[in-house]
Order: sequence, then structure tokens, then C-alpha cells
Amino acid sequence: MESRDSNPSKTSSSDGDANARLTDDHGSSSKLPTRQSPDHNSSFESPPPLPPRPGTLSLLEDGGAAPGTPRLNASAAHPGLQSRATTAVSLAEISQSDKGKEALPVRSLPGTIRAKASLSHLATPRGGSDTGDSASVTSYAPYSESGDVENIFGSLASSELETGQESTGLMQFPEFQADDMQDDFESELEPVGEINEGGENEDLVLANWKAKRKHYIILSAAGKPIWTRHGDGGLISTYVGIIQTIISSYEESKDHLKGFTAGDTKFTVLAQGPLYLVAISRILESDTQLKLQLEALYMQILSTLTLPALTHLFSVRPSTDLKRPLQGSETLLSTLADSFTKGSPSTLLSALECLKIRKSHRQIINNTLLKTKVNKLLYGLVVAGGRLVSVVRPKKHSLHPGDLQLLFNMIFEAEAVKAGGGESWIPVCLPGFNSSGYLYMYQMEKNGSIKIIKEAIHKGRPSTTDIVPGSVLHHFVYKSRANVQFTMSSYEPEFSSIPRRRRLISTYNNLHASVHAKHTHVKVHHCITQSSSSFAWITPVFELYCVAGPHANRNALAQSASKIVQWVQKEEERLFIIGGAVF
Amino acid sequence: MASRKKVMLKVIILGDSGVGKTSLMNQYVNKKFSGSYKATIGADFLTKEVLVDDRLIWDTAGQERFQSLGVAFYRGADCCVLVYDVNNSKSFEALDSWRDEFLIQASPRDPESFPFVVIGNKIDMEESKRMISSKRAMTFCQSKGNIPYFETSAKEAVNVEQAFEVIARSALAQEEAEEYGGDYTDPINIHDTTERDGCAC
Repeated sequence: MESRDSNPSKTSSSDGDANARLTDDHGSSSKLPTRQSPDHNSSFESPPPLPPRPGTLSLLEDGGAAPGTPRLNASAAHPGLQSRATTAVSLAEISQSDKGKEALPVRSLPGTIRAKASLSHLATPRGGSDTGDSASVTSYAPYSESGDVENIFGSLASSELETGQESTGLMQFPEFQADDMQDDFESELEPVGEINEGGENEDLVLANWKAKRKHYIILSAAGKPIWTRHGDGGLISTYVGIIQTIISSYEESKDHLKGFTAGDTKFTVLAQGPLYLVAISRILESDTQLKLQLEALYMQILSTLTLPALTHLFSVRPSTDLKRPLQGSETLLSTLADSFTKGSPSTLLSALECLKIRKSHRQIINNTLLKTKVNKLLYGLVVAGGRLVSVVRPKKHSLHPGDLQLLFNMIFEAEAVKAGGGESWIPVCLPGFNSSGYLYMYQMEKNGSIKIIKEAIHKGRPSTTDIVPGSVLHHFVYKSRANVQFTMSSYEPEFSSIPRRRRLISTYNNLHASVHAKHTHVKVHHCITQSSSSFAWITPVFELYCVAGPHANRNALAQSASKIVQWVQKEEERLFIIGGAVF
Repeated sequence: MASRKKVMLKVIILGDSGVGKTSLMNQYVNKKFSGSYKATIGADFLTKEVLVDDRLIWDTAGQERFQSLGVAFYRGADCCVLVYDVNNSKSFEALDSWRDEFLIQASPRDPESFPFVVIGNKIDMEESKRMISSKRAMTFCQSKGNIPYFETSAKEAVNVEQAFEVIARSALAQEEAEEYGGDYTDPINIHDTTERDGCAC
């Protein structure tokens, strides 16, 4: 990416030659890797989007925010979700923030025995006995048969909804049958269809629309539909009118509606200047999680229009129909939204994932980037398979996770970019960096270390049993807090279907929400449900979340967890980009 | 912009209680009329796709003396339709205050040129009951800057289509008057660290 003084309508041909080395290489899944290994498409699953960055939104306030626009303060409310500069590494900074809270000598775990002891101790923080289990979130589920036997969404339900609230609606959902693979969630992302000329199928289309478990709707403050994930403006305008009326009636009394719950459906509202963004979820996500998703969608709009343009449009004309200026970028909103609906550890953890390659290989790639950098370069990235391979950046700037998320979404999801082949110049606004103008993203195929990258992609993520033979764990995610990066095991085979994966992410959502709840200082959280037992371990250095079968022995779980941590620390410089190449 | 993409227009229908605002909308959108009266509480929202240069119209109707909706209801309207009952002089006399109410609440940038349309409804009733002559209504419309005037019957579907077509065209004319544009291409100086760049570095 690079700043340019020229008009954005100019094409790359003008002075692209001078900058042609600026590399944003991506092992585009449609290209090299698939050709080589058509049977390994699974390792090219849609890239996990990068997390939105709550803190950045503060800088948007002085632009378009109407007086009384709710100030986003996610970082204050949820310190755990605070994302930091992505590739600028400063361990000191991080450990400082948690100083004194935790003294677990993570880096020198001497061995399994000790780890086991400390973990079991931590696993029962309150009672120091088995009561730790029954005191988990499951115990007060009103419909629980035996207190500690629950299924995933059941336990979510009991913690999400008010205790004692009627949850029969949730109980009807197929995911309550732990082994059901043919969940109706499979069809969640399918189109609702269009109402035909005569309108005979209107009821059917509307029924399809209502059957969706997740909706995103963006409307103008005047109540005009701008974008919706399912259906079109015509189909939903009645609802949009109602939404606008509800939100506005709060705004007028100088109050801000943040969300509400109706039965098993959660409505979350984000008012951002002239735009209202609404998420409607029946997949049991927390308000915080939904709000982060809405913020990311807002960032995507800014990335297309820039904040001054958006502000200008609505100040000149409050009745602006933003659909036209956004024309063409709807698919970016949709792919972003779908990644949230499918569930993304990256968003949950506000961290990004790197491709695991040898440190020396990464250095070669870094050096290649540095050697060819031009004067006006802002960032150089090499990304592959939705994962970051290498970063070069100026000393004084680091990329925001939210901005990277937008870039990744564009590179890996936008058909036009993928179809464009090797090279394209794209003006993008990185709202986290500067919301008022465009930078140019230039990407091209590179042939330098492409073989190494392809092999790493081909190899895929390791399974838990690759790392810890015989482990009870089915899946884990490990977040390195200092690096704002995470690593995880393969979704295969246990979580390869979309409903399975969604359930896994929901489990992580729940764990994450539990350990990051306000006023909690939980270090270890163990949760057993009908279909799984899950485990979170939080230290100043890392956050580890893992999932095993429902009957997994707690000690075995803890043992595996500590082995995972040891493995990550051993592989740290391969799994994570420590600082990136700086110029 | 040469695109033929559909545009949503927000049309607000105002007028005294019982003049037939909801009936007009229903006739226009659903081609239906119901003899029974049901007060609109708050607002109704209906959509209709109309071929006015391939565009989509969004009608918002309602608003009796339920004054609770306020600014948000009016904000960002593309056109305002004032409705009265030709057999009810009070409803005609109220038109001016409805217009004022709208201009105050919506505060359009250029009140003089904001598109209004006046509709005299219920012309299906017997002539002897008629209180407001066409001439009187047209004089009023002229005095307010040549507002287009229509006489309709929502019950018998007289003139409803025509009225709404003019409504859509007025709204579109407004919409096209100010196409978005402008130069937002100021380069970002990536070397200037004093600039608020949002980085924590």
C-alpha cells in the first residue's frame, strides 16, 4: 500500500512501474495451490477474518458522529477484547498491563507433573474440589437434568439469557442434538430468493427470510435500507421502518438504544453518525460480540467511501440513498458478515493468524520485501490462505487488526480481485489508520518463496493429536497476547461442517465471554456440557481455549492443555510473526 | 450517474385524521380499499416498486395526532404528500399547519423548493356534501409555490396512480438535483507523524 497524490480514478498504469515491487502477495486459493493439490482444498477454507478494532472507532467520532451518537467504549468495558497494534511487538507493554495478576511461570513449565498440579489447582478456583464443576455456568440452567450435564447451546443459553427465562425456543433447535450433523444451519447462508413478478411467492420468500438465524441490516438514520445480508430493500423496508422508529424514539429522548432481546432473539444496535447498523442473532452471541461485528461492517463502509465522503453525503442530503455509492461493495459486506455467522476465532480474539513457517524462511521473505520496497511504501504484506506470512512496516506505524481484516476480506473474498489475476491497484481506506482518504493497495503474484508458502498451506494446520499424541482435545485456539496473534489446530475432522464449526465457535464465544466478563479475574474456566467439555486458561502471556469430548477427564484435559502451551512456546517463532520487518 | 439502479424514496403522507391517508396508500400499493376505519397508530410503512425510470418508491404513511414520532419520522424525506377530505373544510384548513409542521420538523435544506403534493380525497361522495371546491384548493396550492394538486378517490381508485406518479417524479427530481460528488482524494501523508493517524505507535 502506498499513498499517492494522484486521483484515485487513475489506473495503475500511470506510475505503477515505479512501485511494482510493492508486494502484497497472496497464495490465492484459486491459483497455485489448487492446481497443485486439488484434493486439498480443505486447507484453503475461507480465511478467518481479522478482528475489528474497537479502539479505532474513537477516532471516527469527530467526523460524522451526530451529537449524542453513542461513544464506543468497547475497550474499556472489555479489556480482553482490546486489540493492539498488530505487528508491533512489545512484550513489556503487554505484561505491564497485567502486572501482578498472575505469576504462573509459563515460559518455564518444567514438566507435565507440575503443570498438571497447577492446572488442577486453578481449575477449581473456588472450592478446590469437584464442586468447581458444578459451580460452572451449567448448574443453574433451569431445564438441566442433572446439573452438570448440558449441551453447548444449553449452557450458552443459561448464561446468555436471564436465569429462569423460558428457553423452549432454543430447545427446538437441532443443535441441541449433539450428534446431529444435518443442521438447518447449513442453509443459513443461502439466498432467500426473490419475489416474482406477481408476488405469489411473497409468503415463501418472507418465510425463508424469517428462518435465517442471523441478520444484519444497515439503514440510514432517515430509515432507508442501505444493505441487508438476506433479502433486499423492498422485502425488508417495512421492518426497516419499524427499526428506524424504535431507534429514533430513543435518540430523541437523548437515550441510545444498544439492543434488546425478544425471546431467543438478540437485537444489537450500533448508531454511527448517519447510519444505523443492526444485528439480529438467534445463534447466541453476546452483545459485545455482535457489536464488534457491526463495527467491522461500518469499517467496511468507510473503507469504500471514507468518512468525509460519508459525512458529506448525509449532511448535504439526509435522505441520501447510500445503496448507489456503495454499489459493488455489497459482496464485501456479505462475505464479512458470513465470516461472522460461520464463526471466526480471529474476530473473537481480536487477533490474526500467521502461517507457520520456519523462522529463517520468514526472514528470507521479509528481506525480499525490504529489498524491493519503494520510498512511498506504507506497508508490505505477504498473505496466503487467509494467514499472514510476512509484514514490512515503517517504524512509526503498525497495522490495525481491523484494517487487516478488511484487506483480507477484500483479497480473499472479493471475486473481482480474485478474478483480476496477478496484479491490481485498489484504492482502500484503512479506517483504523486514517479514515479520511484512500491508500493504494497493490498486489501481485510473487515467485520468490512461493514454494515454501505453498507447502506450508498444503500442510494445513496440525491436529491436536499431531501435537499431543493421544490427546483428549478435539480443538484449541491459542492467543499470544503480546503478538496479537493466534494459532489453532485444524478444524478437521471433528469440526469440518459449518454447523459443527459454528458450535465450536459458540463454545469458544461462551468461554471467552465467561473469562472476560466484567469484574472477573478467572484464570481457568472449565465447562462441561452434554456434547463437550471445554477449558479456558488465561495468563498475562496467552489465552488458551480448548474443547474435548463430553466425558473427557479433567486432568487429561489439563495435561493436554499444558502440553499445547509447551508446544506453542517451542514453536513460537514459527507460529507467530514477532515484530515483522521494520524500516 | 447513468446507472438505472433502483432508488428508494421516502414519501411522507400527512393530513388530518380520517382523510384517507392509509386508504390512499393501500389503494396505491395493494389496489385494495377497506370501508372500515382503523386509526393508524404511529406510522405505517409500505413499499411499492414503480417504474419511474426503473426506480423503487418507499412510502411512509400515517401520523394522526399521535405526535410521538417527531423529527425522526420526517427526517430525510424525499417528498411530502398533504391530504385533505374535500367534504371536510377543517381538514383543508389544516393543510397549512401540516406543511409548517413538516418544514419545521424535517427542516429541509431548501424549504422553498422542497417537493410537496396536495391531494383532495373522497371525491366519490355525493356532490352536495362537497365543501372545498377545486378552485379554492388550487388557489391554495399556487400560493404555496405551485404545489401539484390532485383530486382522488381511494375508494374507487380514481386518480391515485396519477397522483403517486407525480409524487415519485417530484421526489426523484429532488434526488437528482444533488448528485453526490466532490473530491475526497486528498492524499494521506504517511510520513507525517503529527497527524492524527490513529496509530498507537
